[in-house]
Amino acid sequence: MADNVQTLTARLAADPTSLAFLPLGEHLRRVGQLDAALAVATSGLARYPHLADAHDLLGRIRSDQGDGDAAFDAWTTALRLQPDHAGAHKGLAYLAFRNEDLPRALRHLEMAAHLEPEDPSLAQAVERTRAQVAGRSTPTGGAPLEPPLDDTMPGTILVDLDGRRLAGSLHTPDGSEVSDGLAALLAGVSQEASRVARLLDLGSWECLSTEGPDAAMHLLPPTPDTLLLAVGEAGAPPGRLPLVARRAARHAQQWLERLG
Amino acid sequence: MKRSIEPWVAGPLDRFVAESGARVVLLMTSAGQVVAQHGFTRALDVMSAAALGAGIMASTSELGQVIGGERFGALVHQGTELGVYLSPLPMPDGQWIGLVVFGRDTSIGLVQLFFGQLVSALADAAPVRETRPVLAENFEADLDASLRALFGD
Amino acid sequence: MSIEESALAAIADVPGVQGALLVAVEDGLVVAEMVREGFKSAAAAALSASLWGRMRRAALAGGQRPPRFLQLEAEHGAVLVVPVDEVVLAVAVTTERTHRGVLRLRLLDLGGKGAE
Repeated sequence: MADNVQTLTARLAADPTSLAFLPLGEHLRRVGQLDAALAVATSGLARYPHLADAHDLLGRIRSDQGDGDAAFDAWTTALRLQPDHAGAHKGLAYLAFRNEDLPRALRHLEMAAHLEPEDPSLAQAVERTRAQVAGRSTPTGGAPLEPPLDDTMPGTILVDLDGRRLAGSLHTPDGSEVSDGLAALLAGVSQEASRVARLLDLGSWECLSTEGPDAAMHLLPPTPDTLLLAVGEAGAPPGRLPLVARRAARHAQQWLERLG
Repeated sequence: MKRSIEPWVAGPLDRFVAESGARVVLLMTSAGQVVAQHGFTRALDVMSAAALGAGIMASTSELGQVIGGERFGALVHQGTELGVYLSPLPMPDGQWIGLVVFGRDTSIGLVQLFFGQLVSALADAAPVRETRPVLAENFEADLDASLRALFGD
Repeated sequence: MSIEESALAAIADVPGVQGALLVAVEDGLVVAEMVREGFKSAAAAALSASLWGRMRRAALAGGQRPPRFLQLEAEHGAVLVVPVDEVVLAVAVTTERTHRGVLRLRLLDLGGKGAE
């Protein structure tokens, strides 16, 4: 990926009008270099102020920076320029979800799912949100029911150290719900991971990942009292799931802080 | 259920049980006097296990002498569901014996690993005192006293 | 050099590896080892086999087949595990300065050979 960054940077340096700023900015965002990503995105926008993709990129970066208002502005601008921009709908759905505005989140999710019918995670998100909209009798006024996990996220669950699920859900390919059975075992896994690291003089444990014929898993503790498990596709690049899981962990931390 | 006659044994024994996942533990002197136990519910079982454990260790030691002075260490019997680990436990005032029963939820590797830590912890915690020889005529009274301490009357 | 020794040497040769072990899955005992002085072989074997067992059960509970690679990242190093076959695991314990990518590939290569 470092090569990729160099290639993209070189391409951009050689041709400042190149659209290479889009993948470069997105890569920098995914690895958490948000200031660099912002610099790339804003310089690209200066050249392409009418490009919806560029505003979408800016929205994702601003969202990761925790600046929801700036992210909202960027995504609404993207939609004004291109009303069928799926990324902008997903971004606005995420913001609406974070603000507990489930009906609005559902509207944007439905639009995104309509624009990207091949994405099963969107269909699942629509289903989940629909159920929540139907099941919510009174506004809670507190934290959202689910942590606002990224819309590109694979299956993810957040559990406490007693192995009880706090948020998220996991399903097998045939649709069976396995969240709670798996959550119950994760507390023991983390205790063992902690013991292994301690007794082998490796300090505290940071994360645990597995690769299997059916899936890859990445487990990490977003806070001292919780564990987050991300499950991704088998055969995906081994560095990808940890990145995605770390981003989910950041969202989970924010969600837990709001819960108090 | 866990009981120990010597209070300083309780802490290291608790840690061993928690770390190793052992189901039943019996610590005894080489003469079969029970020092501490975890997991037994009946005095009769403790008595039988202590006598058998001490007997096995004594027989193994004798066997070692017969075949050329070899000092044997621990013994492991692995069954389908349960395993038994029987090991000498060197203490400042003489040798003790540890008997550990474990299930498939742990492994002999973990039991051995944490038994090693138990040995060190007990040696560190043991108070320095004069050793008292175990006399045959005192054995039964000592055993009765031990069992009363472990299970109550 | 035996097959076990050459397999372990390929892992132990990676810079930063403190110990390379073959471990009995069920017992958590060392089958063969190539380790630096002072390395806690018995602890590494017992603990990594136990961690493997727990993660394997978690995968099964998640409706997946058992994993073929595990990596525990810690503050000062990592533990990497692959099943060589149904009864033996290959384990590597490293300091923080290790080429994890190379090590992962060598371990997976060993796992692949065991499965053949």
